[in-house]
Amino acid sequence: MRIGILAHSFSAAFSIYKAVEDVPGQQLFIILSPSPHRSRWTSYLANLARLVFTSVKRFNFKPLQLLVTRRLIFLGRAFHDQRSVDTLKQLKLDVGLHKAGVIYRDVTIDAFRLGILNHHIGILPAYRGRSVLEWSILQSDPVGVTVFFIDSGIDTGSQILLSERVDISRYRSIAEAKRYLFELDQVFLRKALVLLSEGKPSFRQNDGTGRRYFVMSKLFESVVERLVQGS
Amino acid sequence: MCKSASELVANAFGEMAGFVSHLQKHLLDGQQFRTWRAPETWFASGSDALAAIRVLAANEELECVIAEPPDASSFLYDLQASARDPQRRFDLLTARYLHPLNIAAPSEDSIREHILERLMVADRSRIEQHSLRLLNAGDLLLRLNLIAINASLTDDLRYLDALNYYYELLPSAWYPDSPRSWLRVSFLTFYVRALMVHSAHIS
Repeated sequence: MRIGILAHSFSAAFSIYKAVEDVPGQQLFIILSPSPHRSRWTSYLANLARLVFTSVKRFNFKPLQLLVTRRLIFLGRAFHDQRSVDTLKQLKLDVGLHKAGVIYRDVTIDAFRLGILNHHIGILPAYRGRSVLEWSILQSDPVGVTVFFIDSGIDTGSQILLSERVDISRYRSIAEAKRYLFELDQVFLRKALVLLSEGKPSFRQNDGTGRRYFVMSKLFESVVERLVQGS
Repeated sequence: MCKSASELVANAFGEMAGFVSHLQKHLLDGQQFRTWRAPETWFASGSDALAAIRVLAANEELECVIAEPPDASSFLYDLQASARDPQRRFDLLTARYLHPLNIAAPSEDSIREHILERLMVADRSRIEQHSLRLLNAGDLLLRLNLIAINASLTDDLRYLDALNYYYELLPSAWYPDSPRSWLRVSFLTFYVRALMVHSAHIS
């Protein structure tokens, strides 16, 4: 399988790279698009600096090796730009791993044979959207993560590859628990790739029965914070 | 929150000053709210939407006569198509919700969801990143009133939290530059009611 890690930042992409590089039968690419908040050149230079820093600081020359072997690709434009899409298609990728802060358009998703996997810090189909950790706690529902193939909607991609409950009882704040769930992307994207590489993964249907949640108010957040502290 | 509502200067609401004073007094006195029931299908109405909102906000009785619901799918399409035309959206909503409790009717599920999403994504983002002045105050407040009415009639806490969010987001001394600025006070009244209905969940 040919896998592309999609990100704006080299550091973010490389954390996933390290977690999945030993999954058998895959060839990994890191594909960086400029951050929407920075110019193309600022993004490019910042990522080059991170790459060199990572190599030198940790005596890990894998990043430079990726660059030399053309498995680290800098797109000059956003992921949906036609030139970016053409580059993605030329790479003949099977699966994308989402690590960029964007919502992908169909044209980008369609450039991957199987699609782009997203690590979502909520249980689908019940909890779509924002603040899903907080909403799950408020409504006494299980907390967990889901890995699914995205579409251009908000957590509406129909194929759920993996969904598991996660115990957050040792955390005493929402921020800590949320950080932990986000950092589990390395574990869960790896699990997802293993499932795919073993062939015939069983998908669950993200059937739209759940609700889309929105950013939570400070009032409700304070209620959830108390619930987390008291758990 | 009752205090915030009472701190608004009633005279700033022009000819609706008397109505605003009445709502403020009701909130400060802590009077019981009249019980509402959600329509099982649809409620007919003989008045206009804004007058009916005032009746509900003033805790007066609004007649509930069961009727057939109008078509929801074409309305949702029209509502979505008016995303960049707040006056058109205001007119659409006031024409449909002549009886404002109809926002909680089963047929209105996708419409409620659309209004909630619009408030919590596009409008919220515009207010937070730019300015409240970019939005049409009358249209924003009408939608907040409808969501606030629904919040008292549903156990879906997302609607109540949208009210929480906007209560935190809108400046406490905001006097909207709109002939419907009184909708700000009716919104606060409906918000207090919704909080009381859901107090068991959030205590």
